[in-house]
Amino acid sequence: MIDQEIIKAIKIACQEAGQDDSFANKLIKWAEAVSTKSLSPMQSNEHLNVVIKSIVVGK
Amino acid sequence: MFKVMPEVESWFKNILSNDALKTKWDLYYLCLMIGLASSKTSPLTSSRGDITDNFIADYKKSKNLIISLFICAELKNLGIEFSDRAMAKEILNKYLDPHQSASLSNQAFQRLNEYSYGGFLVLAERQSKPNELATFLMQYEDLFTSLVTKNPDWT
Amino acid sequence: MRITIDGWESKGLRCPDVHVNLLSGEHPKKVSLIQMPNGTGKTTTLKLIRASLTGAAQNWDRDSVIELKSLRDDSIQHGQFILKLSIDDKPLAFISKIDFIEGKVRYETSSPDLGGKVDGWNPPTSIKRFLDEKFVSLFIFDGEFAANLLDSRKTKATEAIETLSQLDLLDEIASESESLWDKEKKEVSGTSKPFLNQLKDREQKLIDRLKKIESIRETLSAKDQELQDQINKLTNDIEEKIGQNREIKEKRDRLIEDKNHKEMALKQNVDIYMQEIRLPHKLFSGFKKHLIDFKSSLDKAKLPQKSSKQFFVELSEDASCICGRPIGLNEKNAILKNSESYLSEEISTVLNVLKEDIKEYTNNEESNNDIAQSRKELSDAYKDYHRAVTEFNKNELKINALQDTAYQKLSKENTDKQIELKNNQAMLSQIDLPYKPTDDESSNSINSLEIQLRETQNRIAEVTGTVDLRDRINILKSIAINAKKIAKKELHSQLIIECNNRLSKVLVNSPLQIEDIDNHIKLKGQTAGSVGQTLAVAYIFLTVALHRGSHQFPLVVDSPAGSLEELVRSEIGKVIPELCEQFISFIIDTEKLGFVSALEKGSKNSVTYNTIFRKNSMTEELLKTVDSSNYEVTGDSVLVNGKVFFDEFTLAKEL
Repeated sequence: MIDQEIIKAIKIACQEAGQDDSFANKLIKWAEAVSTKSLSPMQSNEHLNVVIKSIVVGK
Repeated sequence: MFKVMPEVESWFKNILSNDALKTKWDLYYLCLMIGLASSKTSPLTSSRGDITDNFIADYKKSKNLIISLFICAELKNLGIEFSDRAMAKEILNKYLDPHQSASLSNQAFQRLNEYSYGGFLVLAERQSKPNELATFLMQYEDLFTSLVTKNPDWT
Repeated sequence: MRITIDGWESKGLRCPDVHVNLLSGEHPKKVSLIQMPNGTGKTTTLKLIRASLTGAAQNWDRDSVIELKSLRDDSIQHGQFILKLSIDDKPLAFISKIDFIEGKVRYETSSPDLGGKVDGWNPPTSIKRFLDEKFVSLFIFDGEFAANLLDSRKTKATEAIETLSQLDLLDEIASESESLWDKEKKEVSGTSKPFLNQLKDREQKLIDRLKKIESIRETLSAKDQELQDQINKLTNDIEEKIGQNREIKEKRDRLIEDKNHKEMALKQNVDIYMQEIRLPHKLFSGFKKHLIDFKSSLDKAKLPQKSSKQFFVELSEDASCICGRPIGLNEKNAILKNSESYLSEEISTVLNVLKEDIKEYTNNEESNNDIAQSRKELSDAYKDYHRAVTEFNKNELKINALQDTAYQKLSKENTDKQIELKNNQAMLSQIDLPYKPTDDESSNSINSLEIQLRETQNRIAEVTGTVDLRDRINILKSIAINAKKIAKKELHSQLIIECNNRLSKVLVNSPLQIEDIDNHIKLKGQTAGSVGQTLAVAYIFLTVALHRGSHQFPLVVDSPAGSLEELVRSEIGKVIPELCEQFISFIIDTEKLGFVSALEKGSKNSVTYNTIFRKNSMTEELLKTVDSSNYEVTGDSVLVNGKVFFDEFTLAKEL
């Protein structure tokens, strides 16, 4: 688990960037996975691709 | 959305957070007026910098005057007279949007932001980065007066 | 998750050959005290504990490994250090096998989850992220680390918070997304290739330059803070000196009051002037004419019309016109087409409001002269203020001339620091200059470099067909940067409140509060505390920070109380057991007074007492009164368990 303040901050920052809650959740999931420090490069890549694809551009 | 570019905030850094100059809207307005006075616009350098989508409390009084001056500036810029009703109405339809709290369309926001940023570039070119608010404001008024009185659009 | 240290064994090493068991039943007690006189191998023991927790020893060079060898027997070829832990009550051990011939350390890990003992340093996944050097150094530390937390030249406090709360996760996210960009920048063939390579070179130059300037800015900012702190201290010292002469002090106080009064008046005038500037028709009286012309042009052009677009749209749906003529399909289409040239009802409303406001403000005659009046009053207030400042400065020079050399030295130092600060800030402002279109990769401005970098990356994206990806990466990076900023601010704020609450209870006689945590811990009203205060602040800070989240770590401290006065030791000793699950302290006999009894009280007597010392001619004498089940004698050392021996043991006695 990552610190609650980081989770809150990610949600606020996503909102300010015009991204919705479901995007914020994907980003939080990725952050939590990174925090375990045992993510394989392939797993990390998967998270990254999901997050990148979910971004709404032009808001 | 009204926008203030990061370099604008940075330039005003030493005099912001003073009681008299406390909001990003103040920076926006000061730059906007220089932009309108000198008829100078410039495309923005970033998609960041959103401040608000409406005029803040300090500017509620001058909201409609600012919008009116902006439309005047645009009409003058395009050389449109009001006698050309069709073209004048096109401009009004383009920039006014009663569904937005600021009564401005997205194109109006973009154009106003370009005036504001253009005004900032003029300001930064003609004045050194301010360290003292009182001297800055007096120099600002002098610069503004000099620009607006030399601009044939406003004289 | 709960991590505890259950004990360790060492053999053939510079630290004593001992088997330290901290368990009492199935769990260690709240407090474990290891009394080891200086020179017994405390430093080596701590080094090996740290290395066991991070796996660092497998990368040590030969000299570092040889340094661990026991001094008593040159023929020793191998040594061993076993660190025993429990992770949520499950045992885990790291075995360091030290080969002095090869100069290498090899690890083994033992845990039921691994099915027993395996080669290599293999902690369970659940704790791996806590076992890096940065993190471990936050719960296994000594007084020097504590002092660094308050040192304005260092950034240890911020680093500690970032490590403990894993703020660096967000940096990692930003950096991963940038790696994706590096991977996706596709090669293009033919004539575009040299151009793309040029762009990539420029991109790299800008990245390198940006990194360099950001590093310079960080240094300059830290210097700025350091100088501000030094100037504040010098100012306080100068005030104190002046205060010693009543007449001088009174005159100076009067001048300060006058200066402040004029400054207040100046601020008020600035405020009034700015309010005038916010109204465009006051900023430039010529606007009035244009606004009136705008309104009358609207009136003349009959805008808004009495009829709006809606009227015609609704009319087109009727069977007949208002004049009575029937409306067929052709008429309907014509009406709809021409209705486009009318304004909608809603825009008409907006225009009417604009016109009303123009009428209201331009009719108000008395408003037009206000700005000239405000400007004059501001100008006068400005001159008054600067006159007051000049008087004050002149007086300062006079005081300087009258005062003794100590004062003059302080005054000169203050002036020099002010100049240094000004120069420093001038360099910083170079770095903060706005972007100009004529800037290139050699610019000193961070704004300019960021803009140029963005433009170059956008250009690369265009050439390689990855525009969309670049936009997404930019958004993701800016979210990561912003989230870090938000989280950092909130974490700092919460930590400060919690730490100050604790500090007010601990340092009752020498009150101290934290003002801010910005790279280092900044104290309120002073640039530094006494050694004791520094330690107290560091303990509170680290234990509060470690206490965040649902994980429990042991706190292992070398010489925790040496420089603390008895009262502070007592307060710290009471509080430490509350702040951590397990406290292990390496202590010498002179630190016991006040500290041990407070720890006993704070932990409700959940304390293990161990005394380790080198075997010598007095050993037999010392052990005479100790039950044989309570001590162990090895080749070079003695380990004694129990409070009585612990309390009575002193270095003098040992010698």
